[in-house]
Amino acid sequence: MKNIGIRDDTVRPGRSSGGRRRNAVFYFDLSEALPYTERMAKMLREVTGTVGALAKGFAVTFKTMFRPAVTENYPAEPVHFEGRYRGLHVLRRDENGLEKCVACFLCAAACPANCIYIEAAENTSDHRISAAERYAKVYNIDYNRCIFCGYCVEACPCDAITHGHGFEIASYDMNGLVYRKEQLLEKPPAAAAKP
Amino acid sequence: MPETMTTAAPSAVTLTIDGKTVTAPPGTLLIEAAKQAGIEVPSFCYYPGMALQGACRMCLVSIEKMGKLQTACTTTVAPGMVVHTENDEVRNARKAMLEFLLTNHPLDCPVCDKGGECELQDAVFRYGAAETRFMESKLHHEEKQFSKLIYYDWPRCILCYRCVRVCDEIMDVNAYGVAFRAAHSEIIPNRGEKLECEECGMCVDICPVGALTSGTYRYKTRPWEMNYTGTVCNHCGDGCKTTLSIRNNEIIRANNRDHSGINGEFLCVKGRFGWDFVNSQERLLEPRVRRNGSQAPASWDDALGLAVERLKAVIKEHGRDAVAVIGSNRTSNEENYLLQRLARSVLGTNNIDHHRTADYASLVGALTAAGAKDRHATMAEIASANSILLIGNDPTQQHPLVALQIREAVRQHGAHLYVINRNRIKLAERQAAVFAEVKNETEALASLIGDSPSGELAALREKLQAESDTVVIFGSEIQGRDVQRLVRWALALPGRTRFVALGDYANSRGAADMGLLPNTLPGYSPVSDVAASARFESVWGGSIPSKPGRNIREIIVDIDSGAIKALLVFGSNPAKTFGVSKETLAKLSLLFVADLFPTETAAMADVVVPAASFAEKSGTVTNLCGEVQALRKTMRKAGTRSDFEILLALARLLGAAWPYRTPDDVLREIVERVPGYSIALPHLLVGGAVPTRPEGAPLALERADLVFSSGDSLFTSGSVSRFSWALNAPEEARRPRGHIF
Repeated sequence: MKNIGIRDDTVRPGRSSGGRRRNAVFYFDLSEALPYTERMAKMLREVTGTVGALAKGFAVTFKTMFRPAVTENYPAEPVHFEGRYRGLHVLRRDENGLEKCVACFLCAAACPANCIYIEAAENTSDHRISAAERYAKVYNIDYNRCIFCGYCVEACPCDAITHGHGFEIASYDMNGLVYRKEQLLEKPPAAAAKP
Repeated sequence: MPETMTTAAPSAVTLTIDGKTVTAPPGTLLIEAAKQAGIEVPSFCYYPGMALQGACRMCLVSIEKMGKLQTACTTTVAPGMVVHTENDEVRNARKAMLEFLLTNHPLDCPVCDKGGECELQDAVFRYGAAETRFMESKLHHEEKQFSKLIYYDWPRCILCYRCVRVCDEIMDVNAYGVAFRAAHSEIIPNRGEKLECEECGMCVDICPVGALTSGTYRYKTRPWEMNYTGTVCNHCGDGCKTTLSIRNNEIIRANNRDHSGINGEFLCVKGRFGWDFVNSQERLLEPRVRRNGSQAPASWDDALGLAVERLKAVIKEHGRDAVAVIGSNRTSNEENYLLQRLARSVLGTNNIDHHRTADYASLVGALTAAGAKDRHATMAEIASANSILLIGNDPTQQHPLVALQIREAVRQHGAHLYVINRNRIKLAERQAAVFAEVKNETEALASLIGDSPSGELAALREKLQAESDTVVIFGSEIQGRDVQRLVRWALALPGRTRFVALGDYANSRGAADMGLLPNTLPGYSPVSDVAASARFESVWGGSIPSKPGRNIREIIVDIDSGAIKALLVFGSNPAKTFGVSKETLAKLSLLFVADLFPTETAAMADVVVPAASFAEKSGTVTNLCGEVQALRKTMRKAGTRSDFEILLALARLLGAAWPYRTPDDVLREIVERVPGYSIALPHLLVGGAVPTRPEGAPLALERADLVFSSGDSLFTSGSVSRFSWALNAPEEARRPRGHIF
């Protein structure tokens, strides 16, 4: 048998390989098929190549050992986010502490998962929730279904809904994943000032 | 193109719009000709059926050989005209017009109720002028509440005057005007600070922007959030098609923007706002059973079980004649048909009646006897008639669509309206060619068809003789033999005549057609007619009693005398309508009531079950012209069951095996068995109104006090309107009956 070290898996009956060897697994060739010098040269190439590759690989390892770690020590330490991270939604307030949301339903219309539910109501002079005529009496986001695509944030004409950085919403109870307006809403400015 | 000018027939004009050759009758407006060719020319102020305004300049088109752009809504077609509706010049002009409209228009689309269905929004999307070049701040006025149901937001108004014209021309109420000039122009109520009108809401409906908004729909939701279902209004007998908008199993609004049905986009205050009784907190939501003198909640099984147990006991002890049934003016044809089947074939009695609000039996009998069963006018035929004879009733208050059709006939093609009435009703004041103010319509009719009519009646008769096409419309004042006399006389007039009897409620006509009468089977054959009975007995099994039953007055008397021991009431309130006293009702062994609300009758009942409203069930209803339309289930109401289900359950408990699974099964039987109801189902299923041609030889009307109208106003609707906020909130609801707006 010749070339026992070469396992050619491209040559199979009924399949045209075009004579090209692919996916060949290389072993030390101990057969007598090649002349001695060629066999030795080949073996030395193998050994030096392997040593070189190891050195290259460990160079990265040792270099990285002296770099600061990028992994976060969660949950022992707080997680750091990029600014545009799309986490749990936050409903914003304006500078007067009124809700920015005017219940235009555009977020619900844009939502591909159909997870936003809104009930609108009219502001009155004694009961003012938002700056415009209408406000969201009920604003629910169903996090069972939300895919955090950010379309709602893009659709919002009032910059009322934004992505916060919250992400710890795993739950054993699906019902708890339907977040209500009270959970999504930013704290009023006065309350936020208090410790 | 001179060739076109010479070869075109004088009755048609050929022109070219956007390269398409269009043929239209002379006098056609360019905008309408373009619409026929499938080319949309945008417009705000132009509205088909109303006077031309030429105010918004959105419909500007370029016409070759004319120097400037022309308004397509005021230009009529001319032979050889070459029109471009979408070239650069036109687009730029429209964009500029939009920029002007937006100078003071706030871009509060996210808040505005019209957002998503706004014609201005659509136009800006199409032509792009959303970014203003004006640096000046926009003018602003505070929003005004014109009435409890209608609000006006000045900055959003684009002054198309549609509201002014619809109120004046279509509604003939003229509640709106325009004050001030130019950019300060403002829509104002004509009579004082607040609206003083019929509150029909046509102005809100027709407003292309969010300037006029509805008091019930305001800021509740957005158009794309709702589900829309076309069904039929459940108030008066006109049978207006209405599209209910549903969100979360609650009706949010009603309108008919798709112009479908016999009413087009028209709805009155009851149709547009008066659906809110369906959402009322006072709806019955669980069966109640009287035990030890007071009603207490019970399960459906207990309630129906008790009713059936008592029914069986009454039948065993006092016989089948001790049971009576009172039906409804609002339940569907299928339910009415099943109710009379329950009475006739299961309970075995003809003691069944309802509050008759027009004498349909006599009308059908008279037309059949005269061999003119095709002379029932349809709603559309009222508007196209050359002359209309109106005897009794006040359509403006009781039948807003009939009144609209009459006004349109007069306004659009100069039809002559002849009115005989004891009151100076609005149609008599405003549209009548001849108005005979009489003491009593019945006597007036006798005089009119007698030998020597006097005064106005003589003039009226003389003019009617000259008419070619007359629709005779009469209220409950004309009944029994008078209907026969009127029909016989009117059919003998030289012109063609057709007839309409004005019944009060959504299915008053259907109740009579379906045989909720003591002496008449479905389709107006007398119960004594063996052949007609056999027609039903062959599918029902058993036999139908051939002796006419007690009418509603006799039922009440016999409850008092003790001859009637059990009374089943479906969707009716005899305690109020017929003034039945508590003491009388207390004599019954069983008073079973199926209703939506705790009415006076339900309060006295031994068993009350909560019925579903018109929005919560399917079926068909027949309007006062005899046109059948489909009710569609639009929502669910937890706790209620439709009368169809209640009847099925009662029949099952009484030991009758009925084969029906859905109302459609019943409709199929009606179409097959009831004379005149062999209607085309496809047309019905796509939301059309299918005319029926009932015929029969019913017995004569038993007595005079059986047929009477409730005399509802625009803001009342039997026992239902008191549970509606919208029908009680407007100031106008407190005007005296017959007040003319």
